[in-house]
Amino acid sequence: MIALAKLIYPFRRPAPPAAKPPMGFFTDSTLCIGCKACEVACKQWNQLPSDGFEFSGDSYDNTKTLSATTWRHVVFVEQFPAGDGIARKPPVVPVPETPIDPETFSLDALLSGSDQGRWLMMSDVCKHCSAAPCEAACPTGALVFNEFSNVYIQNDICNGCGYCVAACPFGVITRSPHDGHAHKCTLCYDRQRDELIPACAKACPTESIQFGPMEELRVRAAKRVDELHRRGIADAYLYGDQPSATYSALGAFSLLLDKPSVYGLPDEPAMPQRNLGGDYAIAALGALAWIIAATVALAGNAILW
Amino acid sequence: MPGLGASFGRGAATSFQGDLANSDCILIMGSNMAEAHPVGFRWALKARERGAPLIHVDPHFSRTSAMADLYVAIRAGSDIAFLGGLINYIIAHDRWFKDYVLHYTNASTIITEEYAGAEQLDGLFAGFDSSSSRYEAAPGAWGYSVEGSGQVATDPTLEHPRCVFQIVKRHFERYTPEMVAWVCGCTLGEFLRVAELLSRNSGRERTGAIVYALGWTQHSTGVQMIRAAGIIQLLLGNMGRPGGGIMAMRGHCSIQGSTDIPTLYDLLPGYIPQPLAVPAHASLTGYLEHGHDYNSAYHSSAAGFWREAPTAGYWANLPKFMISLLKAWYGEAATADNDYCYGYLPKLDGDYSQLATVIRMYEGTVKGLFLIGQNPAAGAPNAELNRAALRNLDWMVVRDWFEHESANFWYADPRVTDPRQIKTEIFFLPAAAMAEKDGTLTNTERLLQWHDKAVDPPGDCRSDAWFMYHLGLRLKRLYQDSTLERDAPIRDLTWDYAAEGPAILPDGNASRIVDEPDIERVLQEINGRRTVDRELLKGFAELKDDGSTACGCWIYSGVFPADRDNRARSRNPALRGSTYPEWGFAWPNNRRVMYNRASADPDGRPWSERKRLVWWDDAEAKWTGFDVPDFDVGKPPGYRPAPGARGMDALAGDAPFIMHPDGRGWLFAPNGVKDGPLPAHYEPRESPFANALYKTQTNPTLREFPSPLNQLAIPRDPDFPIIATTYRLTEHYLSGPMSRFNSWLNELQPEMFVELSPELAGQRGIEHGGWMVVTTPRGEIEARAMVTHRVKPLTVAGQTTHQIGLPIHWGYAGETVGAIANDLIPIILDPNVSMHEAKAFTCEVRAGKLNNIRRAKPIYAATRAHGDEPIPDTPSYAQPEGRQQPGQIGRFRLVRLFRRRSKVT
Amino acid sequence: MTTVTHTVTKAPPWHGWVTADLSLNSLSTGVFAVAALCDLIGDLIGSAAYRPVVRIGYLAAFPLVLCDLACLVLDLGDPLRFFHMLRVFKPGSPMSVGVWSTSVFSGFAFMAWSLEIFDRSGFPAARVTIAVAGIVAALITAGYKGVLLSTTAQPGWKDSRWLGAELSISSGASGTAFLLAFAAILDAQPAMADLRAVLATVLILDLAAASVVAYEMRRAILARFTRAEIAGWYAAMLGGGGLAPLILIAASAAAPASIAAAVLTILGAIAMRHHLVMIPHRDVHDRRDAGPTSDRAEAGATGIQRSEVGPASRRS
Repeated sequence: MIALAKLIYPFRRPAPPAAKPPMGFFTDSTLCIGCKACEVACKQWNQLPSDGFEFSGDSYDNTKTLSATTWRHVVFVEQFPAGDGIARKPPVVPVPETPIDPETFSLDALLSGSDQGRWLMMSDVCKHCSAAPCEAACPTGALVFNEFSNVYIQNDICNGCGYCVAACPFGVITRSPHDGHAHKCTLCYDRQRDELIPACAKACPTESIQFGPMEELRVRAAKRVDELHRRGIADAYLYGDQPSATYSALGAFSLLLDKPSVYGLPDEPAMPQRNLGGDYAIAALGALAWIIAATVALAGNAILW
Repeated sequence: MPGLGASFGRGAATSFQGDLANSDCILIMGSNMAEAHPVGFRWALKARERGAPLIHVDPHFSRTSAMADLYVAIRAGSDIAFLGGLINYIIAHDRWFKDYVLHYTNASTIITEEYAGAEQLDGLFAGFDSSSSRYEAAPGAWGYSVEGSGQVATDPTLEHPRCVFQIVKRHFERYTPEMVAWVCGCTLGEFLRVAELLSRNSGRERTGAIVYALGWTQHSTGVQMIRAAGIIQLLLGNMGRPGGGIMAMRGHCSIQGSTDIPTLYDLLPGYIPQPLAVPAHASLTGYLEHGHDYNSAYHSSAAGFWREAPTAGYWANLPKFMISLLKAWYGEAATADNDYCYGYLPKLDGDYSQLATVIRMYEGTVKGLFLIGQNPAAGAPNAELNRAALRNLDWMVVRDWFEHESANFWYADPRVTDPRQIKTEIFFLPAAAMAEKDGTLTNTERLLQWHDKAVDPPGDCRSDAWFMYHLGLRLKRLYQDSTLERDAPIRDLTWDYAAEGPAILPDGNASRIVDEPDIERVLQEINGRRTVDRELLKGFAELKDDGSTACGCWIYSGVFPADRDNRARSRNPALRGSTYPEWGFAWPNNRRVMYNRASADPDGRPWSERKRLVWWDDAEAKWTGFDVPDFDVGKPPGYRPAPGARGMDALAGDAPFIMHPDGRGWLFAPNGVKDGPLPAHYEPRESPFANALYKTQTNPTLREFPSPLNQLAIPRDPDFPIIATTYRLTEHYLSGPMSRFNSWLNELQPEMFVELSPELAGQRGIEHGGWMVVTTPRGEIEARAMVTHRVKPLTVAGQTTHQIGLPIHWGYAGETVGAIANDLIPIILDPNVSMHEAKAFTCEVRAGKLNNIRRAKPIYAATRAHGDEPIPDTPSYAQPEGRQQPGQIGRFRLVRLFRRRSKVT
Repeated sequence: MTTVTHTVTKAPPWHGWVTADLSLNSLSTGVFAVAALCDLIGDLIGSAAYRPVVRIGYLAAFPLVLCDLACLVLDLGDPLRFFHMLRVFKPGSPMSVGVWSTSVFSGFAFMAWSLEIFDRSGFPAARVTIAVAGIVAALITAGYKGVLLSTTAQPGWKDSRWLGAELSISSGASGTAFLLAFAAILDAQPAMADLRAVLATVLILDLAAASVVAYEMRRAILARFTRAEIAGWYAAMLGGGGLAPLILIAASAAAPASIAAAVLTILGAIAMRHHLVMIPHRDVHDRRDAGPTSDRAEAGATGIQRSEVGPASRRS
């Protein structure tokens, strides 16, 4: 009986909850101090196992990647010139020199004078794509959009086929070796249903990770980029807040200061399933081609003979 | 602490972290605020987002530097040269806030004729006794010049050659920008940028803040670094104003509290000095008359730095504080007849600071130790010496969460070959964590915050208060029938902290621990009561010196002004102007910004509307504003003291620094610091360089402890040419007891590493990610190499200089193990607070691992082995069965077979 | 690092079981399709010449597809939940399409197998229906696999539009080869001769399609395999699995040559599928499976910072 119940159970699902306004993340990497509170809060809330203790040598990033057991990952990218090539002269005698005219320094020049290099830090997470390839790919219906429009893996359904792993252009999901299922960020679905904010956003001390309704986040992010441009940080831009030619908008979008590939994100993510129709068509062509060729060869041979 | 105390009157951060958001420019130096105070750093970032430049000056490029608008790399230990350069720049280019300096600092005070400065004496100040390596007891050569009428001599024109302003100017004349670049290794441009940014963002309309932490304090000249910052902030007029001040970041959650209610040997609660074993202090009256320095903490009997009790300023109230304290401790037994049990107090006859005690342990003259929440075997400077000291004890009681290096050294220290040879008997008593007990924490900004007990601690774990309380009960019981005089202090101690019943936890259940003391009672005793009716006091203004009040710590008085009014528990985040007066309780008396009288001009009007904080309300004849005035509320700005006035009445209506006898901020410190009235650059004790500024190489008053385990390099030692410094990482905490038993933290930073530049690595054949050995005269460690361009060679004194950085978080106990950085640090103590010099020492590096050593093995915590457990499933009733279609976010739709493919728009 | 250098995407956890699945899938569908084709054409021309081949094919297809399904189930992270695939039918997911089409195909294969086991002569209408419908199901089942791979984000796979066609054609080749081998063993003429012609034709198509696919995936292949490995794999797949059988068929009509050609074709097909499955996992400088592989020699295996003079790279 239990076996029967277990067999029937996945097929009986209640009606989905009523849709709510879409919620998501805006991660402003200019405010990220690389503290990894997001990683620890996520692990603690979801009781995820640790991934082992291996010194990666990748700057301060020993987490290395998102996976079934790591749902937040802080990326560290060091961009420093080697040496500064500035020769320094010793003072002749320690006496006061002719005063330097402070008017020769403009405030902007003061701030942007030297290229001292930079250390980029960003907290990576599942993007909760508006049109998610993983959700499209999932053959069991384990991956769904929940009522907050977040991509969610129902882990009582997932059977670990691994197709979502193959489909994700951001390399977010993996299959856990412990229970054989795929896992990823749930956008703290359980917390959201109790009207709390996700653990990572709660823990982030500088509000680099911001959680809220998508519309509001987009407005806020656009204002932020404008402000940064006004302050002379021309590199700032948003990644994933709007759909591109090849990919949908992201439910967790970021403000970045360099190319996406510098942070380990795809420069031009492409929806894998956009080729679906064409590929089926070509496959059908191939099938027809060989069947017809085979038929001709067979029949021809048969007739000839 | 004494740096701040000498400059302003109190040794604590002068403002609150949230005030950083009001700054127009923040200089972070000697601090890694983003990594060590990630939550507090949000305020600095808010300032940056408002347009304030964030400047980080530090030998090590950390995550704080990554967030800064301007980062300047300097040589570890050269901070005073840099700060001196800033002072010189401010004066030379006339950037100082004249009205502020004239009225609120001692710039116009004339110093006695006997004074001679470092520029005359090649790095020494007048009054140095080379036989004892100390400056003579003040006032002597550093005192104010007093006229025949008894008044202090001043020159408001600031021209007199011996006025403080001219002395300061002369002293810092040699700290030119070129000298700064020569000594610190930064470029002229970088230094001038910092100077200009600070100068432009200070003055009447703008304020700048300075943030520092152990990058300054852990030097043999640390106190003077802070003094230099004090001089800068006074010259720029930033003290006592919103967005200004000096934030001494004291990161451990109650480290400020541990000096307020001190675990220091030479302090009583509220920075009252511990009496000395000298005839002058034999009686209470004698102590009260002779015993006090304006800011008492920073003396030791060895230096004997005493002077006449101030008759002016708030410390004139010392008798009220002291007697109330004694009444709190000894209750009924303390009466006027017996000097309020003053005789019960131990009197100091030497240096019993921690490191001096460790040396005694090492020499075998200390039998036992209570080690509570500390891990000297890995966390103290010269950790090997500390471990050797622990091995010499007869017994030790350790209270902590986990068996850390100090608790398990007898079997886990790889250098211990046979545990049977260790004679120390160790009692490990597991401790409760923060959420498992009631209590307060007093953090960096003097803020008391109460935390409620949320859950019971597991098993036998108990809070430290429980332990002390029950230890006290047992001792009292043991001695209750004794008639010996020396047992009287234990018998007479008030110890009435029993709770009425077990605590009720937030889930409604009763705690299973029935004998936990009632911490609120403790806090109430600290707050103070009237002895006759046990009425709680509203603040230290109500304290009396006739035995009618009892108060456990006068600076905390006001935290519990009435029954059920625990101000430390208050969590109202409402802003009043620029302060958060109802979040917790800040001492003194909930003042958030200290010396806030200085936010108004001598006439009581704010220097600028943009920066108003506290001002004089003529109509109501009192000071008012956004903060509790750090001043006599009713004293008008025009008040001038009558001759012979005492205490607070002796301070004028425009003297904001009320803890000082003259009510002024001290550019020149006539007392309070033992190594000079002004900061002078000395090289760290271990340095590859000669002092370019003076002939005196190092701090002449620093204390060394010669010992085979505490060898030092000679200055400019060719065997140790590389400068090393130590620092923290966000992911771990101190030497590891609170972080290296946690898998989630261990996986973030799993191994001990050393940061060095690619240039140095190339020279020594060290590979990134490979192993390297760091050698000092104290010993060697091996660690992974983190070769990074964040560390760059500097040009100091015309030659290429390499620096390396070591995080301090590893040891041999825990899930991850690694070399102990503190094995390399020598014990060299600054004279003021016995602080060790951990931030600048010399070493050599090479590639490879150590030979012939035993290595520590990780000890996995019982609770969580990594990677073994599956990810918990969300139960089925909590699963959504959402739509298979995405919502209308964006305009990209899924491609579906048999449906027209929508155009991607 | 000055920039993240490892591959962004994760390789799916597919290794040996999936190679086996791909091979068995193509074999079972190809065997059935060719057998059904022979059956239909035999009926059409009223010849019983193909009978032995058809019988072998129908008898083999069902066990082969069962083995295929077993491989698929065993490859799952949670095999006991295999039936969860039948909760939904998502035409947008090739794997869902594949699960259902394979199930439907197994049904037809079973029916054909039962007919062979129990009664050959009866139900002629049923036989034709089964054959036609079965061919359609078989073709879909053979072709979906390639589309499944090409509509992922994996390097190499995602670049190939002809993968579905190639796997489809390859299944035809494998199926024909399988039946040819048995025809040769049984010395069933003219089935053997006809099948040799079919195999030759389909092999030519296969070689063409495989070349197109290899060209489409060239960047990923060059990044992930050493030149030596590439030479080895492609010699095995195209040479051993394509050209060599062609040559053998063309050269000799004898049974041993045909059997050898058939075996080489099937082995070549298996090799190709294994090479295909391994593409996302493999990297020249890092042989670790599963998960992102670290990258190129310029940065060094442990990601030391590159020296750069001047400002760091900016977004163009």
